[in-house]
Amino acid sequence: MASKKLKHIKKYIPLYIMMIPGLLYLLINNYLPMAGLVIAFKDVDYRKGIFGSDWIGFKNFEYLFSTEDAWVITRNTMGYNIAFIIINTCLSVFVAILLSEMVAKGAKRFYQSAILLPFLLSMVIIGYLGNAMMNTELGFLNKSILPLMGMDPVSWYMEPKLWVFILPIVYAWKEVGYLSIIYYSAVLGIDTEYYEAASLEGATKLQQIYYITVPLIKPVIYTMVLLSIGKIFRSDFGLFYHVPLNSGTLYSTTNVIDTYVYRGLMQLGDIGMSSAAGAYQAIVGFIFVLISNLVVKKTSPDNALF
Amino acid sequence: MLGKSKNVLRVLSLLIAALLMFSACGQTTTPSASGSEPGSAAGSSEPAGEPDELVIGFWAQSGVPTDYQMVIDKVNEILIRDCNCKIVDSVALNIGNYRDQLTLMLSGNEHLDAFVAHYANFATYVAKGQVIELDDLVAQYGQDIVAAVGQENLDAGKVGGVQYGLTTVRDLATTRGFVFLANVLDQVGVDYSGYDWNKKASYDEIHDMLVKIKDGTDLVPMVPSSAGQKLYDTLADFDPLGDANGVIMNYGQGTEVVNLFAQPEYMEFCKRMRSWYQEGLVLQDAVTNQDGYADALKGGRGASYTTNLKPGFDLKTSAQMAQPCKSIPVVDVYTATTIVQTAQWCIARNSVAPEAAMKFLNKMYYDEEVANLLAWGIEGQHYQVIDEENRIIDYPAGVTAENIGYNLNLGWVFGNQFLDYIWNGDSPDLWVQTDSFNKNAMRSKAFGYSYDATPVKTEVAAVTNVNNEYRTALEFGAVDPETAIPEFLAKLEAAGIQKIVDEKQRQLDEFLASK
Repeated sequence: MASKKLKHIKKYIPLYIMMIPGLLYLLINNYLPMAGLVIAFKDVDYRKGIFGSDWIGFKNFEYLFSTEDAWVITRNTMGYNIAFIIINTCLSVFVAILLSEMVAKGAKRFYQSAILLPFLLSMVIIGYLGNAMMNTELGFLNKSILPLMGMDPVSWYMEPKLWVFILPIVYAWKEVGYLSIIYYSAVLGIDTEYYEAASLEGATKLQQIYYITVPLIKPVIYTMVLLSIGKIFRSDFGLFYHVPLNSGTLYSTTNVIDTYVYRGLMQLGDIGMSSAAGAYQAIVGFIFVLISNLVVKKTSPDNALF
Repeated sequence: MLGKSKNVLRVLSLLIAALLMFSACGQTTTPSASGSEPGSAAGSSEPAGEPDELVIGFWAQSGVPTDYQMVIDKVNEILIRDCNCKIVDSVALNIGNYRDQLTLMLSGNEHLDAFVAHYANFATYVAKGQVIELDDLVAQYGQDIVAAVGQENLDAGKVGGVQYGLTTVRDLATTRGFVFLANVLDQVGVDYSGYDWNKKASYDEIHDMLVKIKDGTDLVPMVPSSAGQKLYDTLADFDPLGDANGVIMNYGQGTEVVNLFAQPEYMEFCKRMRSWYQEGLVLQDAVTNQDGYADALKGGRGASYTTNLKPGFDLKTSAQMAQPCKSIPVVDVYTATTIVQTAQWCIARNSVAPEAAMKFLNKMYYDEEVANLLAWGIEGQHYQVIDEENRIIDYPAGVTAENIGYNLNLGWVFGNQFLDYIWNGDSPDLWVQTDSFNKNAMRSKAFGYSYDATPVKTEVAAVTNVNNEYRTALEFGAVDPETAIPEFLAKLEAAGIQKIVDEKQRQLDEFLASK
């Protein structure tokens, strides 16, 4: 038994060696800092050092839950992330299939690059692009598009309701290109014989997509969705801070946990309270991954992560 | 299975061992740093010893100029000769990044000795023990600082009777108001000659000027001075007691701390701005504006903005904007702890040579050569004296504002500004004027009290968010105060503003009793 195991290990020694840098990185970057979680429960005093500071229980967490904003930021964080997961997954699978069905090589490359481009832009730049569109006095929408349709100008940055739609649109525009390339490569991995057999049997294009493509890339979809669910309590800071140009009037629909913490603590610079927010997000995110993995395991065991 | 769990155990114990090693390192550095203090003190008393190495920090709006190191080398020559220390590194960033960077450096164990603290952070540094007590160091090495600043103003740097910060000598009071492009005022026929730092205008007079600008030009009469500006702060006639969550109204001439936003003055201010906004006197995108005043005014979009004023302001700003500017105050000259604390030198807990840091500070407060080097650069290279008697300087031949190698313009940060030469164009009696500005200022009853937000930081975090949500929009008139202020107040109440006000009142009462 033992010798068999040893042989097994020997066989994979090169692979184990290749694992070392990655493991070291994980250890140093992701595991060692976990000791810093204690900061969330400490009243940090630099004279005493981090580990010598007084324990204060959950006091650092209080500000996250102390006001009615707690509900707003939790709702916004969860709501937008759920919307992003659904919209972006559907759209990018759709785009991936369209790409794979494209015959002209040149056009395919062009579209691939064109939809990927927004992903490479910084959110700060996207914020300004948004401003170029939505600026009250000089924006493209108010100056050119709306008058063309005979509509009155809109104060885009003063109307919280509109942002429920603006944010998902901006995020889809930015992210779909990247996601669709992942799904596209999964589609490319499907053996063409399935399609040949299907078309011999007289299946239409739509039937082929529905019965072959989608089921076969399902594992990838599951993995990607599970990964995003793990981040459901985190939000893209740039999207929620730079794109609405930090407009206070929009907070009811644009404030999320990350921006709330950033705005609240910029003045105080309190690392205890910031760590508390980080710990809260990490723990809730972890729980979400466990739950959703459990659900997947129950419904389709092969696609569960662990 | 058993083997597997054994492996897990092994990994775990390895992890713990690694952690212990790290934490042990963290602990040993502290005693060794403090242990070196007596050693360095002994070293500095012998001139032959290696000079102590100092890292200093200050904010620099435009970053470090090209000849900065050259100037520091000159300063170091004097410091090595007289104080046996030298500046080896400087943290010089624009104010926003500077405050973040300092928070990081002070939170970690990075080498930092003397640095300029912003008032918004000062009390927090003290509460967290990130800066050291200065009384003994000042008594031993810093008597020239006391002579230059004066005990009364030094008191602004005390917390609980202990000195933590040393204010620089500069304008230690403020007035606030509007800054106009003078050409625009001329063009629309406004007579502004009568206004001065001791002659303010009423809001109605300002309103008439803005209307004339709107009718006579295609400029936006008034623009924000920065992104997300809280307008009322730059036109404040109250003592903000740190962060304006809980203030003393009427220039701090009382001892009652109140919620500013629940005061009739606030409603009146917002209503006035609302009507200005609706008349088109204020930038319609004020809430989302990302430009600073300089971009807006130089770029030909705006005609005025609001800010804090002081003697010599107009000439300075005119130079910056490359066209004549005229400031018109709307509040009286007054001073409060927060105003004096705008620039205070502190010594970090991380300092490896606090004595040397204090000697450097002392030198900067009384040595004309050091002060002028830091303020203006090297004589003959960055400036030349054109009037020895009045101490006036100007650009040397061939040097202009565009190609000068040293232009920090931070005389007010580097110790004692009254030692500095006066730039040609500024009034020759600028420092005399500034001195009388300081001496004539109305002094808040709470002067000397530093607000420590630590006991109410949960509430401060929540209230700050509510402030950001409403203040900019309300104060630039983008929303209707009649409906928005009650909403704002309800949210502030829920966020716990009363607790902050009560805590400030408690701290203030304690301070007043101890006086």
